Amino acid sequence: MKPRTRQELSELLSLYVDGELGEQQARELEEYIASDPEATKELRDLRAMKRLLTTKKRLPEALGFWTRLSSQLDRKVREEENLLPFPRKYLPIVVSTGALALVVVALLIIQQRSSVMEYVNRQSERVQKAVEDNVLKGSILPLFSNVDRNQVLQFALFGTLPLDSKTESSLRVDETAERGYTIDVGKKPAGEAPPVTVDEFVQEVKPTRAQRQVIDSVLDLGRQRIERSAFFAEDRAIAIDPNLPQFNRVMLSSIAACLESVQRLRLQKFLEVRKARYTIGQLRGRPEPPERIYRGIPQTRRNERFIVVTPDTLAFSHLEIDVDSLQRHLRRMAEYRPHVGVNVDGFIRRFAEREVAMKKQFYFDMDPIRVLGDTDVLTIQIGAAWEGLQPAPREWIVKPAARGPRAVSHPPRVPSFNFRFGGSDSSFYFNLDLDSLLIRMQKEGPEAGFEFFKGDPRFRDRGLRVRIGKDFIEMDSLVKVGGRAHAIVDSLMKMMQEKNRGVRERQNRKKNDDLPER
Amino acid sequence: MASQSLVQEVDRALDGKSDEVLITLFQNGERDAFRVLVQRYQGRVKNLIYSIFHEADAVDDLSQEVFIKAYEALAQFRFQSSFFTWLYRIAVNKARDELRRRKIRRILSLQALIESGDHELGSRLAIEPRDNETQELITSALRLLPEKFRVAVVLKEIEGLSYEEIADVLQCEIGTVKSRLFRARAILRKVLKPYLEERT
Repeated sequence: MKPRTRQELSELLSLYVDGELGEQQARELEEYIASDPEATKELRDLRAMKRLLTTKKRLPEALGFWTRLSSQLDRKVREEENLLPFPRKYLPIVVSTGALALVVVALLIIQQRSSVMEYVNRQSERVQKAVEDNVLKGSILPLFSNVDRNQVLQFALFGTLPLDSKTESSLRVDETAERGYTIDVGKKPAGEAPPVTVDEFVQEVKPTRAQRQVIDSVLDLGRQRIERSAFFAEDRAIAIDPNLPQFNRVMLSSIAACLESVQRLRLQKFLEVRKARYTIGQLRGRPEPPERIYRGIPQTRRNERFIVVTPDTLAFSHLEIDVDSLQRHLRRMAEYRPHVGVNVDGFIRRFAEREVAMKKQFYFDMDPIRVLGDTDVLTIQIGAAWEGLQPAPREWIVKPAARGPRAVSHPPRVPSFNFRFGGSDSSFYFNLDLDSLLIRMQKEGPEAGFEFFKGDPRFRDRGLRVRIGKDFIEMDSLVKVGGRAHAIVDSLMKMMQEKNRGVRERQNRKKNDDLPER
Repeated sequence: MASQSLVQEVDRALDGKSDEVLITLFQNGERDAFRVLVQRYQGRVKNLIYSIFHEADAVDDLSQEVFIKAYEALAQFRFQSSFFTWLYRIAVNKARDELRRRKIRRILSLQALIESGDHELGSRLAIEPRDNETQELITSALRLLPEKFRVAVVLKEIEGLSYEEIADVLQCEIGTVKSRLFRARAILRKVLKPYLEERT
């Protein structure tokens, strides 16, 4: 085959190097090429170019691509979807329908003790099922959704997040206490930090375009974590991730990690001017690669332990919440947001009412957590023994500007019961304060309390022990005391009185010792 | 936990599914299926955009836009072409739009280069390139190609698509693909002449 023109030859050669010529055509062209040095050279060039182009380097895989994409998709869908899956008039019914999973975990402990025994014994499967059922029914809602980047930045700097636009309520975390961390939910205190925007931050710190992209991604990852860290069930329960108080430092450190020294200096000035809680601890340092920064932002695991507070009790349990499906559900009910602050305020008021009646106070042995409240603010104190979030080394790029008072500085005022069911791998804790139990026994008769202590053989077999102060009492030994409910209540009361007397005597002795000698 | 392992199992199960199955699942409300598609193609989409656009900073943003567009349109996907050619089409169009939007003009048109006999580029290309220089050389050469030809070459030589697949991505006849590739190669051969001569 002899091409009629040079162009035809070039076209044929182009097809030939791509293997697009038929067998016959290819053989004929090869014969021609062998007789034409120009064609041979052109073929050699084409092959060399092909080889050259195939050596083009591929871009490395970027970590966090899906995370960023998914958050963009979420935002987009949120903007577009604003329709309820049911007639709007049924919204209040839907929201209030169904038993609340958090309440199942906690409220039932007070109200239906015998069924709680069974419930607790079946453990996490039922907890999980209840959570899932209620998530689907819309009873459990995240405390935060539609958080924007400005709000995430505000949280990183000051640890504050508004609950909604309708009320003056917010969530505030503080890890600057000397020992431990606090989470306050409720009315904003006077003099709360003024809003900060990402634009202001960019203007003053002057990140490059690439750094800005990393900062946006960090804020998006932070938003995801925040939206998965706190939930509420109308005015009946609040569940909060105990790691939240440390997360704002993680965020701020992650932002600082992508900056050059000069930008970190600007950031420090930015923080100082706004009286932020943190200051830059490492002004010098090379920016970290984005992948490492993204990896350092811990995301809520599917099966996370939450502090669950109801007006009646406190639980500390693994809650597996399918936040993605929950968020999808929420996108269809955009108007639930205005109710968040109202519901949380209602919860705090209910909590405060009970708190006065019961002198509510909780204390966990291994994870010291205490909940206090007045009519405006609910405070969760987490003792220093809590070590849920292991800080990566670079978190120390920022440090608290000042130390606050001790968060958990004294033991609880009243002894409390601590129960632990199940084995080491599937334990379920809950806690009732003794006052609460005794008040109920006094009101409803000892039988109501006795039901609780009657002693399910399954618990006895597992060696369930009741703790009163530092003393442990085997459940079965309690049951054996006289075998009657009032006897148990009497013995409990006696133990408490003795315990309290002992504490008072020790306190008096200490006071006398401290008095100066005349 | 049982449910956690179930999730992992679902993930594993999705990973093994074909594009068609994943799309069907997505169209039936399984959002995770889209995540698997993204994981499967994000690298290729990013490299395709980078090859056309040659601006590393913009690649990530553009790739995200490509997948957002795909997410929005996937519900209407009718399986008339393969998913990846459909996705490539979105990526190519996105890169082209961006090129137009930024009104990027080639400073050196090929004709100007050939007519003026750009000695500086010629002398640069005459040097045997080391590894990173090879990359620069490829980038410079591709950048000199008109966008239509560049896309065809990238799809063929770098992404390894067949003529039919390229025609599907570019929504044109196979003859057009052949013609664009031939013309692109003719230009490249002129541009890379010093390099090619050095090698012989």
